[in-house]
Amino acid sequence: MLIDLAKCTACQACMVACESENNVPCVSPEEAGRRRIISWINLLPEIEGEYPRLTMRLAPVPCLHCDSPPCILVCPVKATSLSPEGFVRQTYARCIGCRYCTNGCPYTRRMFNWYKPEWPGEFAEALNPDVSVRPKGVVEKCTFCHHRLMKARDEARAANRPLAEGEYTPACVEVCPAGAMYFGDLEDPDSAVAQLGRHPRAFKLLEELGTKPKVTYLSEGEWSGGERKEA
Amino acid sequence: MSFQINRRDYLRLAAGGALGTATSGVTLKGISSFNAALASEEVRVPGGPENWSPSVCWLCPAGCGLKVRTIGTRAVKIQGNPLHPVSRGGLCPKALAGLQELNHPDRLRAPLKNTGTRKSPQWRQISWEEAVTTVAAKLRGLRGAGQAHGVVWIDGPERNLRSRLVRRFLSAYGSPNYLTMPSGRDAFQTAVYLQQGVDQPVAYDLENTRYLLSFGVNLLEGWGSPVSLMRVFGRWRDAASGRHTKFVQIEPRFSITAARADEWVSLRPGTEAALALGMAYVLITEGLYDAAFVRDRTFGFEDWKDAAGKAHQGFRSLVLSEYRLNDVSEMTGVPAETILRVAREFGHNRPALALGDHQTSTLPGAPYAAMAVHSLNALAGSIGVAGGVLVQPELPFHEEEASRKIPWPRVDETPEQIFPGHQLARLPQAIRSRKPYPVEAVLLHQANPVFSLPNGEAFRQALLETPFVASFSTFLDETAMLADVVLPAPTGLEQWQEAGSPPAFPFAVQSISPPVIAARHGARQAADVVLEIARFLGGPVAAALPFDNFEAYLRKSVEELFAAQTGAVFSTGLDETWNRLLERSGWWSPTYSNAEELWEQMKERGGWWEAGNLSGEWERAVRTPSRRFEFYSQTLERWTRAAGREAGDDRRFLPQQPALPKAAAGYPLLLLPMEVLPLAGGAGGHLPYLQQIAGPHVFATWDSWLEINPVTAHKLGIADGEKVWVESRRGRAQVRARLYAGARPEVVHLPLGYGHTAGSPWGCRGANPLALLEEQYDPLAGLPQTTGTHVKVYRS
Amino acid sequence: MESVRKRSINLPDAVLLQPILAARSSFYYVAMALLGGTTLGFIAYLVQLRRGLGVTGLNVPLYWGVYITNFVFFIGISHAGTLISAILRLCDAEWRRSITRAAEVITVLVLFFGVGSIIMDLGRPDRLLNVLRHPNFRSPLLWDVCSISVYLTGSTIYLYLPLIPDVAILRDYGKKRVWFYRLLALGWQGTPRQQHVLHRAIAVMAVMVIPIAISVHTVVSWVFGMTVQPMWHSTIFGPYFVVGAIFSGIASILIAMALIRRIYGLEDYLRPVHFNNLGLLLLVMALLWFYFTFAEYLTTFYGGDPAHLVVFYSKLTGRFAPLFWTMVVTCFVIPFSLLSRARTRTVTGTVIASISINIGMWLERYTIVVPTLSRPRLPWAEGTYSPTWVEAFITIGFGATFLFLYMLFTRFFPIVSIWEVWEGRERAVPEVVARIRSYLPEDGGEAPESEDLILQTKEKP
Repeated sequence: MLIDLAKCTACQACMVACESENNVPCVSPEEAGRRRIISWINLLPEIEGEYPRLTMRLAPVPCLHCDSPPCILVCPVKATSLSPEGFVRQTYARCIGCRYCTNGCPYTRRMFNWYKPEWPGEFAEALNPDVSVRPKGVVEKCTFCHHRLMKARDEARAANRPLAEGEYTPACVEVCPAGAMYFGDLEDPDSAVAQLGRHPRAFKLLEELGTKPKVTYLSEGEWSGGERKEA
Repeated sequence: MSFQINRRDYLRLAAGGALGTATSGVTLKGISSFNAALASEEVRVPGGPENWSPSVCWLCPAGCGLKVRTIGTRAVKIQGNPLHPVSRGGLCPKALAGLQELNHPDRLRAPLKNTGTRKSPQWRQISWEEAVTTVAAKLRGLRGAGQAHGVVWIDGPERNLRSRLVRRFLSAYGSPNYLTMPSGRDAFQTAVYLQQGVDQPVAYDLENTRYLLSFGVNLLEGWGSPVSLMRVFGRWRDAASGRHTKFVQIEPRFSITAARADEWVSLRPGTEAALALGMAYVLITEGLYDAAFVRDRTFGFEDWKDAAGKAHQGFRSLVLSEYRLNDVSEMTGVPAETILRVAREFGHNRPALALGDHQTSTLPGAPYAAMAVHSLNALAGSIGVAGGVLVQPELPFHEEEASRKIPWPRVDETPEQIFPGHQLARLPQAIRSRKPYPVEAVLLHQANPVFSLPNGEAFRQALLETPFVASFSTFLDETAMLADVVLPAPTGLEQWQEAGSPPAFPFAVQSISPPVIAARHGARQAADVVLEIARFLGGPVAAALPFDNFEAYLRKSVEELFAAQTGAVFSTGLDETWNRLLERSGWWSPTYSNAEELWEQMKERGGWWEAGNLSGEWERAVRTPSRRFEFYSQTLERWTRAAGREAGDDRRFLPQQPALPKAAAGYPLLLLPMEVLPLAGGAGGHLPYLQQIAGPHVFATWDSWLEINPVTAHKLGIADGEKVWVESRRGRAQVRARLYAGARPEVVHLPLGYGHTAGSPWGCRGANPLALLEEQYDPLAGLPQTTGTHVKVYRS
Repeated sequence: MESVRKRSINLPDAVLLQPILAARSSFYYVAMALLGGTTLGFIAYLVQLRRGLGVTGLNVPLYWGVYITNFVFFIGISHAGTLISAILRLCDAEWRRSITRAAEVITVLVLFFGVGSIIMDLGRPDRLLNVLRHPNFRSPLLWDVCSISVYLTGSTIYLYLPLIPDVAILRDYGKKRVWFYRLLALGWQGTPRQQHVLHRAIAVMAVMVIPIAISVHTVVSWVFGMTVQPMWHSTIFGPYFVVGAIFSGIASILIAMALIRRIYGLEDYLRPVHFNNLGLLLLVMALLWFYFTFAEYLTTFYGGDPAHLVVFYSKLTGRFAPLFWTMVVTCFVIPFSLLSRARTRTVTGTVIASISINIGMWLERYTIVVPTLSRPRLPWAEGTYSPTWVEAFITIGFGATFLFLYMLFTRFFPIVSIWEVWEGRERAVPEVVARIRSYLPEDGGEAPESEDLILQTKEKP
């Protein structure tokens, strides 16, 4: 995945799309006040400077699906692992809820089910049958909408053709109104993500930790035009 | 060795063992039943046949195209309709939260009748038949008594065809009072009317603009059609095509829009007009304006003489004498170098656009300020051209409301203003003074003025005195609480949806979509109820609306669309490029051959639109008597004379910086309400999805927050996250303070959309800043003002 | 030892058997009170099981709190015993004889509460066995599982072996539960061969238990150290935690000794010299602890990594400063000032120091676990955490249950090893004299009265 921060408007549609796609439980205001909100993708604000010289970066951060993920290393029961596609996946049925992985993740991108998930009123009507609902006491995280991959792959297989680029995108990428999020096969050098990943503005979060995230960011950059040279 | 065990020991051992086994057995049993209990807690999501249907978003005026995924009878996901020209598959968080409104636990479950008093209502569930009959009988009675004009309809989110239907109903019934909720665009529309003579909504060709100066417009936080704005923003910054458009945000607060802009210019609140005129000063003195445009297509730039030979001041001499760079710099607090540089950039990069359309904070005299900003567009020659200010194309439907003249003025007219208009905010005064005539009944459709207008309390008092109030509403909100009858309205997914061109969008769009799922809780589409009432009333009213239901009305409208022989059904971007190419060379190749096909295709793809072109734009865009853009507004001069006032100084008809509000003793801080995207338009507080993401830059969720500069907070001894009182002369509210470096030291901000007192407990959190604002109206057009209230902030 | 069998119930040191033979009524009151504490903890845990970990004060990003603090704390205390008694045994420190048992029992019992704390912390305790079913040997938590279970086994054996001769005494002279003691005594008769085997076994276990104990706390520290989190990712965490563990372990023995001495009137067995010697050991550990703490924080400060410094300052000057400085005072200032002077290195002095140290060491673990989590590397909102009643009750329940079980042990087994005291009296004195002689040059002429010499040199300032 690649997120172009120059294009991102910080609208947070990705966050709501994710919650709605992935049956993320609705947290009451009281619990939200206790910081029990579960969100697989979140806006990370970095504000620097003083009025009126300020910069603010608001970067959407999903699970970065690291190539060498610290979370997988520390799980005592192998409840989290790298899938063949390179996704960091979580086996909810095996997780013992020790929350070592949540503490091992330097990005704080793993969430814990403090309670049995609840949907007030008829909110449960909107649950997605493709995504299992997590029981209480287990850790959950962004899956890059793995269920969509499985579906797209099944469809491609049924039609006896390979999976094409763009056939499968996570909910957050799909909804992005500014087109700031890109998704594709990093191993295909011609894919948009791979090409943009070589852009001079490309960087990764906490790259120095050696976690090798699969989510690349493009920094905000600057206006390329300018004042014409005065004679 | 005497390691012997005698029989007694053995028995004890055996007993112990047995006990142990039994205990562990019980424990194991306990564990397994415990596990079973945990397993049974797991939620199984029922499956069913999957379906994708197009729909139209109902949560803001933009009407983005939706693609709704249904599993059986459940709607499980809202996505963007990739064919829709406004949203192109993208969506904003509000649209996605629509599912929560659909499934909201606090939705009205049945029509309600107030059996108590207005002040302390007692709600009784009634049947739909009784509800509709109550309203219809009331209307029949009023009409019979010659009081039909005393009926007022207040529409919440304005729509195209539904609004037309209601207007047609009211017109047949005999009431001129189709009122809409005010939009923040009124000041700029007024300026456009004064300078261009156009009262149609303006639009902007933002996609082709090279330089955009936004004067406090919350471009990325809910302005216009938010999704199309974000899409344009993304295109400006596409990594592959280079970044040619510069976007400068001019605003006192470091908003998210300001943070995402290429440059943020901070200025003293309310001095946007002075800054615009200061930039005009630079453009004029350095000759960076479009001289040909100004010469050929504008009026009042140079000093001029009228027919009577009287000399008048022109825009140039006004700016050169009163808005010198250094004076402006001092007044606005913007360094002169910044003004100079930005103005030069504005002058050099064409097409350049200055946006002053919709400011969350407005001053008395806002239309003058809007004229100042709009004058920059004239200097840049950006009116009626690509990348500039356009007039939104009209949709080819017949308006039939004028068929019968109603001899009554609208009840919300503002006759004492120089420039008479219509302001919903005036209604309470009209109701209470019974002028120009008594209001007998107020019908509200998804409108909640008690909460969302600055004079909400006055509205409440006025509605308490209104003989009959009925509300079509999804929730029992503040205004519905004052009704005699509440009719539950369905959400967009449960009814026939349609939407016209989104605000500020430069093309004509008509979206139409059938219901995605059956209406919940027996809710009924308001348009259908109106048609039923029309049938009940019979006579000319029924004759004017010969439709079984809203669907039939939509079908009939699509026939008009077909007859217009223009535009195309939504399709992929590639197809559209081709169509546009054909159209430019005079071809129109529709994918349909009759109205029925058009109807079917619109239902399937989401709607129809006309990409339009700019030929003849100037004639459409400028309709002043002089056929020129008027720096000096002769329209305003005419109105002033018509109002019987002294014309006086020429400056009254030229753009100017309005007077700034003065701080009162003891209230040192200026309170500016702000809009945040999740609660744009002050709506959405009842949806958990939106409450969770309302203030990401200060980690605010589920509660309103007071943005205060850390230095100011430090002086007041206020810590981050602390509960404080914000007190104005009108009232006070307790909120959590958030130290935010993006707030000006002398200004505090409160987000709009919080502090409901009815509807859903989820919305009843935080404080409504409107309740703190002092009631002020613009003298020119009677617009309600939001800037100018000073407050004090102290720890609680 | 043969003589032992012939003696009547009026054995020497019979006072050591007194708690087993008869209970004072106060025992039952205390037991009731402690079981009350257990019940509180049990109720709290039932609530937590039913509703989920949301009833605790834990949140995002403070995923760990009091339970993990308790875990590290209890595992730390477990070093009390086995490690201390093993070292003292191997060093032939003769003053150890009356304190080893008390120490070893702490170890075995407290380990259960260490493991229990982890179980309290699990979101899905019902899936605990997944640790065995799907073990991930790359996870430090699994290393913990391994080393703690080995340690538990080892220290249980190490407690049991020296217990055998005492159990035999109870079998032979006691009147209650004789069958029980007969089973446990494994046919101990005190034959020379049995004695030889026992001594060998104890020696082997003592040697084995030391590296296991060190590994246990090292691995506990690695649970933190192996992550990349600021101020957890540290190479000295292993030895730092081991030192801290021994530190709090010794403090715990001292408290236990003082209680036993007081309650059972064993002033004659647990003498001021024991407190003095352990006090000296504690002083050494206090200095070591301070050294490690200083080294750790200085390194962090000089490294200047912003992510680390944020946590660093939150402890030294920020939100956690009160806890941090309380820790420094209770772990170092108070113990150092009490223990460094012989005048205050009394029974009371050492006990005050020990209580202070245990409070301080709990705080140390808390200020290791919580501040790091409250300031994640990415600038998310700063986390806050305040434990709820559930966590408080479970902690109280754990403490109470531990005390109850310890008390129960003293009602079943002699808390001071009887045979070792006898052995000391009968054999060790001449052995020590012989040993000391062996240290000295043989051609030193007439040796003076050995004991006088020792005393004289010792009393010299």
